Order: sequence, then structure tokens, then C-alpha cells
Amino acid sequence: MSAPNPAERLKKVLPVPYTKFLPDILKRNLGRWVDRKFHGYGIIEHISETGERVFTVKVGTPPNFRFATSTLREFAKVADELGVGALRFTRNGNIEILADSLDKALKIREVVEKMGYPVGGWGPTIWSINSCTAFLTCTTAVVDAPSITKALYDALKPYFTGEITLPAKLRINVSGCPSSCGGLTSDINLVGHYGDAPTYDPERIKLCLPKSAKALEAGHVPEVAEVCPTNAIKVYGKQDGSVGLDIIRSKCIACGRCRDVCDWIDFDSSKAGVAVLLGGKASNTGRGPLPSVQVIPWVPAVPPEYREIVAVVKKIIDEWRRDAKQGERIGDWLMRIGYEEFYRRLNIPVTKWNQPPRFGGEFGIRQFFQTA
Amino acid sequence: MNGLETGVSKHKDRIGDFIMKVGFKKYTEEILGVKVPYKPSLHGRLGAGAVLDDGERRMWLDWVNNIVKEYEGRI
Repeated sequence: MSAPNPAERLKKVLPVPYTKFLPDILKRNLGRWVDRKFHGYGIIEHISETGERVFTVKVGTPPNFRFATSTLREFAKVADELGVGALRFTRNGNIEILADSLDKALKIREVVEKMGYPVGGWGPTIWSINSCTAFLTCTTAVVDAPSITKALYDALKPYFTGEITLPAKLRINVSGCPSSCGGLTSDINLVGHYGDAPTYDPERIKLCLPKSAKALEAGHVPEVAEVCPTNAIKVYGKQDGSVGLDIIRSKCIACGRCRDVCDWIDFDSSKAGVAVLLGGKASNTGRGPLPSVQVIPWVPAVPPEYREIVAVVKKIIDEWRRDAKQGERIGDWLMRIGYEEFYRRLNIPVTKWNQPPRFGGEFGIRQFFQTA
Repeated sequence: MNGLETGVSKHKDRIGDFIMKVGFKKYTEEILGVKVPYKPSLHGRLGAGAVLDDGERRMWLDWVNNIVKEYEGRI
């Protein structure tokens, strides 16, 4: 059978045109939106060249966007009765409900606030606090990211609704482990980790290793070593033909992936905490795209209130609010004042885990273009 | 399915790891066939995590507790 001609793919019609399920007002105005206007921090008016308008109401959702089906039905009812019969989930876990008049949008805000959900998240506010799923469905979680997110939302709600404004957009990510599924490119990133290298039972660890060193000679790498992202686990053949294991403390980042594939690797969960990374952003505004930098290697994660984490995040936001220029995101602000100065202001100890970064050149898309 | 036997993906095999392995210049010029006007930014360690001894943990705990005290009644 001959291979299909790739050019045939261009003629392929998708099974369902994506516009099929759009509300009529959106179908009529496809490609015609020309302007927009903000009504507070949670409602945007989109204006079409036809004169029609759509109002989007942005609603903050529970950590990790977890909903009971009954709650989803309530939201759908609101969207049907007050909106144009459409709602969408944003990639950062907010819900946007569409209406065709400002009066209806304001009514939607009133109804969802009564349901207990905040409206806001546009302009110089917190746009979202993203969280990974952690223990609910994940096997590598170290700390319960959604619970930390809940504690942060409780403390920072006025920054989402716009009751208190910020110098610029602020996004926060919370990840339960260094796999960082909650995200690592936001202004503030919290990443759970064990804070110490693992230990192991020298006898039982053999259950996770090949029985004979001959397997290593043949090129086999045991999974417990293979999964380590920093090559901190070394396996070696002993003179008696058995296999030994070493954990190189100086390379270990305490992510816990080894424990995930071997029950006889052990971490002391009482030492678990979060690392705080600042200044990431994908946006091309300001200094352009920036990576996040670890500034505080460890803050204890103490449920249920996580007061230590909340206090540190508030301290960082307060210092940013006090000093940043209008429109200056945390990464841009840190680049302007310098990480050393930031450490000095917050009295942050400088260790090998939070060395001030030495940036040179451009990140992201900017490195592909000549500047004028 | 390959890689799903234990539910753990091998993070050493992601695209960024691959670029680091072959080198940014070789990746862009020989594999992608583009000439990039700038070198990628140089920067320090960007990973998250730390392996601390008891003394270091105490130091960070003291630092954190000072901030908790500062925010007492406000969080």
C-alpha cells in the first residue's frame, strides 16, 4: 500500500466546524471585533464593527478548578438564563460567562458572587492562582498544592477582585513537586519539594536494583536511577557481583521521582516545603519573556493555613507594590532593581540555592530578532 | 504504552533537554536550518528545589518566622 499524499490532508474537512456550537451573536461577528472596554476588573465589553456588543464576566474558581457537577449545572443555568448560552474555561482555570448587555453582565456578577465566587482578574490584579492537582490524582506530589492555593486565595482575594490594585498583572503558580505541573513561568511560583536528600534501606533497596552487576555491564539502567532528573543516583557493580546504589547529595534536588518508582527510597516528609521562584513571564512586554528564578529555596509547608507561605507571598507582593512603576511586572521590577537589592530589602540570606542570576541576552521569541 | 508502565515520564528526554544535549548552535543551524542573530541568554540555575542540612533549614525557618511575625493578624 502506498503512503498517503500529504497534500491530500489540506483538502480534509474537519468532522465538526468549530463555529457550529457558537452562539449566534458570536457567529455573526466572527472577525469583526474592533474594540473593547473594561467595566471594573471582571467585565470586558467587546465591540463589533456591526455595532453589536458582548460582555465577558470573568469568575475565579476553586483551586485546581475542581467542581461538583451540580455546581457546573448552576453555572450553565446562569449562562443560559442571563448570558448568551455560552461559557468557557480559561487555561488558567477561570470561568468566563458571555452576555449581550452590560445589565445582564452585572446581574451575572451579582449571582455568581452570591454563589460564593469572586469576579475580577483583569488589569492590574491577580489574574489567576494556578495549581496542579497534587495528591488527588498525582503520584509524585510532595505538598498539597490546591490547599496552598486555597490559603493564598483566601488571603489575596481583594487583589483578584480589584479592591486592592497592583502595579501590573500578577499570576501565581503552585506546584506540588518539582515537576512543576502547576507552572513555572509566572510572576510568583511555589514548588513543593522534600528539602532533603532521600535515604534508603540498604537491604530492601535491592528490590529496586538488578540482581547482578552483569545487567549494568549490558547497559541496563535501573529505573530508580533513570528517572532522576539530575543524575544524582548512581548504581554500580560491586566486586561480589551484586549491585550498589549511591545518592549524590550535592546533585540531588529532592524532587522525589526516585521514590515514585521504588518503595524503598524514603523522604522525611516533615521537612517538606516549597521553593519560591520569582519573575517569570511569557509576555513580550517590558523586558520581554523572562524565566523564573529561585529566590527562596525553602519555606515550610504547614497545613491547613500555610501561614508561612502566605506571609512570604504577601511580603513579596507588598514590596513590589511599594516600589514598582505602573505596568512593571515582578520580573521587570527585579531586573530594574537587581536581585541583590531585592535580597537586601527582604533580608534574604544568599546561599548556593538562590544565587542572584546573571542574565545576558534575550529570552524567548526576542532572541530570534534583531533589535532596531 | 511506552513510558506509561509506571506512570513516570523520563524528563531527561524532553525537547529542552535535547537542545541542551546537541547544543543550541547545532540545533538551530543544522537541525532547524535557521541562523539566529543572538546567542541564547546565559543564566544561572533555574531549577526548583534544595537539599538543606538542619542548620540551613533552621536559618530559613528563622527568616520565615520573622515575616510571619511581621504579618501577625494580617493573614
